[in-house]
Amino acid sequence: MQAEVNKINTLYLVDDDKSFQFLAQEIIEPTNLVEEIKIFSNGLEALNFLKSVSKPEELPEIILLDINMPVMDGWEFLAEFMPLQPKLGKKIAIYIVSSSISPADMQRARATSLVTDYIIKPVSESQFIELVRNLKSK
Amino acid sequence: MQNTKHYKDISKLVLAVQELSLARNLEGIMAIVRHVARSITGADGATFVLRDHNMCYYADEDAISPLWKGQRFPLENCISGWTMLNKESAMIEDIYADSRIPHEAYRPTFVKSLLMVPIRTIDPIGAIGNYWAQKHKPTDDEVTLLKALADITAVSLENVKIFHLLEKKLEEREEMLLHVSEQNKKLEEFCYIISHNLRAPLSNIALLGSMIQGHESIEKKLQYMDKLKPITDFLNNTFDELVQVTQVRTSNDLEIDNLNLETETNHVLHLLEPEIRSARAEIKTDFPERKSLCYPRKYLQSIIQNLVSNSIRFRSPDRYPYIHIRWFEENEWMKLTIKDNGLGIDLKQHGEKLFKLHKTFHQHTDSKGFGLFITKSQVEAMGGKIMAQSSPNEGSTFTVYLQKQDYAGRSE
Repeated sequence: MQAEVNKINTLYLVDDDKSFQFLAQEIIEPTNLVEEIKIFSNGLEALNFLKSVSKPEELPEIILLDINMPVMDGWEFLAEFMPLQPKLGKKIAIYIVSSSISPADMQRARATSLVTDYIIKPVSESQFIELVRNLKSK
Repeated sequence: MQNTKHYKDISKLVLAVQELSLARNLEGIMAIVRHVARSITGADGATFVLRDHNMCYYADEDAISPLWKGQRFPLENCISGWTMLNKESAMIEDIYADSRIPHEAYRPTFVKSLLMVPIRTIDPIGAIGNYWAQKHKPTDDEVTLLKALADITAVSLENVKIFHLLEKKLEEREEMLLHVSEQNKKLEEFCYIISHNLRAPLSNIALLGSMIQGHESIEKKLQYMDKLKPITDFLNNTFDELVQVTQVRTSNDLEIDNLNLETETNHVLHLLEPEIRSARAEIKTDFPERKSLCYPRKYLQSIIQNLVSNSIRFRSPDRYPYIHIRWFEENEWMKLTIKDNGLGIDLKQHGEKLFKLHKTFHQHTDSKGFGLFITKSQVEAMGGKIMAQSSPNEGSTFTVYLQKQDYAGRSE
């Protein structure tokens, strides 16, 4: 795994929790596995930014998406993202990262083909790193 | 010849048993019995009499000309009453020669002879009568057949009673089940939200803890430790509000206070004075003539406070807040409307989530999405309802319907 040289260029973190935003950055940055982390506080901010990106190589490889957010929550984001995806010309892995342990949420996530996995907070440092590594080696 | 007739009569009885087994109410039973009673004996008329306390009620009949349908006679003055009181059948060939018969009641009718059997021999609940226009001595077979019919009728009536009882029980059970499953769903949702709201900050604390441990640099450790404070504050506030939420949900035996709407409203406005002043909010109040309302004081104040402070918090940056608090009576309701010119909410997008836990629509740090949930709970706990009208950038109007509570005799 260490032999892998190609980095993840861009990771989006969509979460309204300011503390979590800070922590995720603090963990991911030192790993040097990700070139750039972009942070959004709700689905709408992320969606608007995605729409504004013109080149596929500038699109993120991975989106870490929270569910419960103001303005536009994770589900609403996914609903808006769905028709957008085929036009993007790039496969984006979406991970739901939430502290919701509701089976309904998990089921819903599993039923959505867009979602790669459902990760329940708290996410440990090593889990985080593993997640980014795995994606990179794919 | 006699045997064939007997066989036919038995067949009729068997058919009646089958029909009776399907009857689901008294009317259905009577319709079958009056018809069969007459046809198995070949009588000119049959009556179906029910005991109604100390009266005989002629509930139904099937006869060549009218008898006493719909009428009531005292048990003591009537042959069906005699049958019920003596728990035995009466066989009368010449009614005008029998002292048990109230002759006056029979004179307008065709009846010359009769046969009356009790329904349910032990403690009769009614009687079946057979009547002949010509003098007729009821045969043993006729008596046996009619008695058999009366027995079956008794069982059928009992069945109908049990059937209805079961049906009612089943309905009650179903209603209860529905209620419980609704409560359960609410509780489940509540648990997930609680766990979510507590998990989020807790998991951040856990993560921070491990990062503080894992880092060598003192500066980093200090930086991380600084991050703990806002998280624990948030956790603390969340916890306080959750406690409030659970208190609303469990207070079944609330104290009802006799309140003056103007006094309570002004009290809340006084408490909110610092916020009102710093937002430069203008507040208008209107009260009805009758200002008294029986309601838990704590709830009423909390409802007003939550709604008014929402109006201030979600004010528009483009204008000073104007809040109109209006109390008025409408039918059985005491209504409260709180109208503002604030940010407003897109109800098309957020309507169904408005009163739910932990759903906020504005990016405010201090808005944890509990307020409206608590308000709704406090309104609904006392049988009221709350509604919202709003358009983005124009303002919101919250309408609260409060049930006028009975101060003295609080219903349990």
